[in-house]
Amino acid sequence: MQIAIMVGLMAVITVAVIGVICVWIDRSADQNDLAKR
Amino acid sequence: MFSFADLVHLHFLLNHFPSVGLLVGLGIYILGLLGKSDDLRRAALATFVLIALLGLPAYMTGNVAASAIEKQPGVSKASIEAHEGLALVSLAVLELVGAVAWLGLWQHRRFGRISGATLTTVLILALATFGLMAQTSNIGGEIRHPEILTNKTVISAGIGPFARELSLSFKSLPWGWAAAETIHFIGLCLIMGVTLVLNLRLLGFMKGIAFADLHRLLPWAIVGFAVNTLTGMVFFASSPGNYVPASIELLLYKLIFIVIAGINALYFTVLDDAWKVRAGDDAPGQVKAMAGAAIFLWLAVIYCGSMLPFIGGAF
Repeated sequence: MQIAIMVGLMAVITVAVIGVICVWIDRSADQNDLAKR
Repeated sequence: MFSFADLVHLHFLLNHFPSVGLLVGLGIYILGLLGKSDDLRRAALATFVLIALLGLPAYMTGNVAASAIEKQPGVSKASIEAHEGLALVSLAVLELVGAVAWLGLWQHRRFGRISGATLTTVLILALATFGLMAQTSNIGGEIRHPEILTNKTVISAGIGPFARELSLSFKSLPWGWAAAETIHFIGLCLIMGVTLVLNLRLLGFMKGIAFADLHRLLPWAIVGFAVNTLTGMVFFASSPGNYVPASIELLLYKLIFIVIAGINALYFTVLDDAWKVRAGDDAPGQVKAMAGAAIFLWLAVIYCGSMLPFIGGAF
C-alpha cells in the first residue's frame, strides 16, 4: 500500500512539475507573439 | 556486434567530448557573447546539446572500463570509485547545460532572439561543468597513469564519493524503482506523443496546420526527454551491475539511437527547412525523410529499452 501511494504521489508531482515548466515556456511564446502584434 | 574491448575503447574515445569538446564549445560561446554574434552563440549551444547527449554513453561505458581493469594489479579501486562519483555529478550538470542550451535554440527559433537569462545560465553552468569535468578527467587519468601522480595519494574527489553512495542507496527505497519506472513512462509518452504529432504533419497528415504552430509543442517532448534522462541515469547509476556486462551492448544501441534522435531534433530546431512549412504546404523531401527518421529512431529507442530484460538479460 505504501509503495502504491508513494509511486502515485511521485507521478502526480512529476506531471505537475512538467505542466508548470511547459506552460511557463508556452506563456512566454504567447507574450512574444502579442508583443509582435 | 560490440566486443567487450570495443566498449572499453569506446569509453576512452567518448570521454574526450565532455572535457575537451566542452572547452571548444565554451570558447566558441564566449566568442559569440563578446562579439554579439548570434551564429556563434547558436553553434556553441548546438555543440553543448550534442556534448550533453554524448555524455550519456561516455558515463555508461565507464562502468565497462572499470570492470575490465579493477582487478588488475596496481589499479586503485578507490580512484575508480572517486572517478565514477565525480563523473555522475559532472554528468548531471552537463545534462542541465544541454537542456538550457536547447531552450536557447528553441527561443531563437520562436522569438528570433535568445533571452539574456538563458545565455547567462548556460555560461555559468558550462563553466561549472568544465571545472567538474576537468577534475573528473584528472582522476580518470590517474587510474591508469601513475606517472602523472605527484604523490601517491589520490586527489580528493570532493562530492564524488557522496554522489556515488547516494545513487547506490536509491535501491534501498522500497518504492524508488517503481516510481522512477512510472515517471520514465510518463516522459516516454510525452516524447512519443509530440514526435508523432509533429512528424506525421510533416509526412503529409493534418496539412491544415503550419509547422510553426506545432513547434510550440516541442518543449513538452524536451521536458519528457529531460525526465527520462534523469530517471534513466538513476536506474543505471544505482544498479550498474544490472546492465554491465550482460546488457550493456543493447543499452549502447539504445544510446546510439538516442544520440541520433537528438541530432534529428536539432535539425528541426536549428535549420529553417521545416520551419518554412506553412498551413496547406507539402513538406520538402529532405524534411519528410527526417520526419520518418524521427519516428523510426524513437521506436528503436523504445524497442531497445523494453527488450533490455529479454535480449540483454538485464535485471
